Amino acid sequence: MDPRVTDLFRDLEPRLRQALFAFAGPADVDDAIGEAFAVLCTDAERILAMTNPRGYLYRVARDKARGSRRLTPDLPPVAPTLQPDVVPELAPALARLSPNQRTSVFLAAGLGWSWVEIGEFLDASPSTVRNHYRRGIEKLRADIGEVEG
Amino acid sequence: MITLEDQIRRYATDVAGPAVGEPPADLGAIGRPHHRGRWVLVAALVVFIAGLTWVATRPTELGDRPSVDTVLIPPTTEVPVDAISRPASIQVCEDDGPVGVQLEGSAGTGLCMAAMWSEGGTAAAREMVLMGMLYADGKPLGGGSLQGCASSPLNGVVGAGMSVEPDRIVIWVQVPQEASTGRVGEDGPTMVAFELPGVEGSRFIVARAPDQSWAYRIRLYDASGQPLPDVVGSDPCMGRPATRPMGS
Repeated sequence: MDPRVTDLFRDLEPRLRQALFAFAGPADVDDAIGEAFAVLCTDAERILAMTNPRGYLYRVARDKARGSRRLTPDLPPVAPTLQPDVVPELAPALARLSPNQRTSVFLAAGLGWSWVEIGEFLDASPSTVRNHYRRGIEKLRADIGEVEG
Repeated sequence: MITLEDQIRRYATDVAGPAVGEPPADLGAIGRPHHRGRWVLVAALVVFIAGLTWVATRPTELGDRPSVDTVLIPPTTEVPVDAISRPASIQVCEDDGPVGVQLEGSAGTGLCMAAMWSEGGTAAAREMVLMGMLYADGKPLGGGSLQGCASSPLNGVVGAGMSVEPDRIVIWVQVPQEASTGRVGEDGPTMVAFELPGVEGSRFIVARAPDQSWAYRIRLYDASGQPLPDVVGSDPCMGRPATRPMGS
């Protein structure tokens, strides 16, 4: 196998997993990643020559996840060990956000992705990602606010 | 106090971690009530409307077009400068968009003048700017800064500006055919028209010419409501402030 393919996928897979988790929840992530890898293997030259192969492969995986996606993603509940600092309502509130809002909020605030990195996957400018983030975080703040600690 | 962002971080790293880095530097300032920012917005809108009213009511010299003088009359409807009350014709833009005032159309569709934070690496570098944003079905098609010619367009849309000139006010928004999130007309946005709040009888229209060049047109009315000859121009802003319309 072309080492560029394996290098790309080795570098991309953890990010794909996080981004797909934010989009669709854990249930469909493995199938979606498998689909992206299969597409990469069968069309490697074309994909490697793209300006943004990572974004393309994310969209392949996302579309696979979208096909089996429930109306709202089934996000794991907040673990008891995190409570009461993290309110249990956070998980369902995240699930109620639009996909782009949830992805932007989860990846930026939750996992430290930059606006540029998120935009690469969403095929959006950093300012658009910030707008998604702003709207998502405002909805969450209206839903659950902050906890007095 | 455990911030919402901290809660999200703890939850995310627990279910999908580890984090790849620190959150973006400006993240904490986004989505928080900007009380000061909202007052800046209100002040900016008040100044803008007051400025339009002043320009519309002052005497002007128009050389060989004296009939245009009669258009710039005191508005028959007073535009209050009180920051709290708004003219009935101005509607606040709906949520899912920037805070602002709807200049044309119903909520979520049409032209919205809004205030937004400009892009910048740090909170100190950002500033509140007035934007002209075009919406269709609640989704932004794009827009640009209304403060001079746009040099930082949103969503890839270029071309927007405001020019206050001795005998007219020119505000325009340039929208490309291939809008990323939707289209207004059959072939993309081709016409945006709005009436300047507080300036009776002036209407600014942006239109795309059949040869795909951009043109603008100002339609004026006299005191009795009769239309005067339109004033048209083209290429409103190519890296310089909008020039005086070149006549019909």
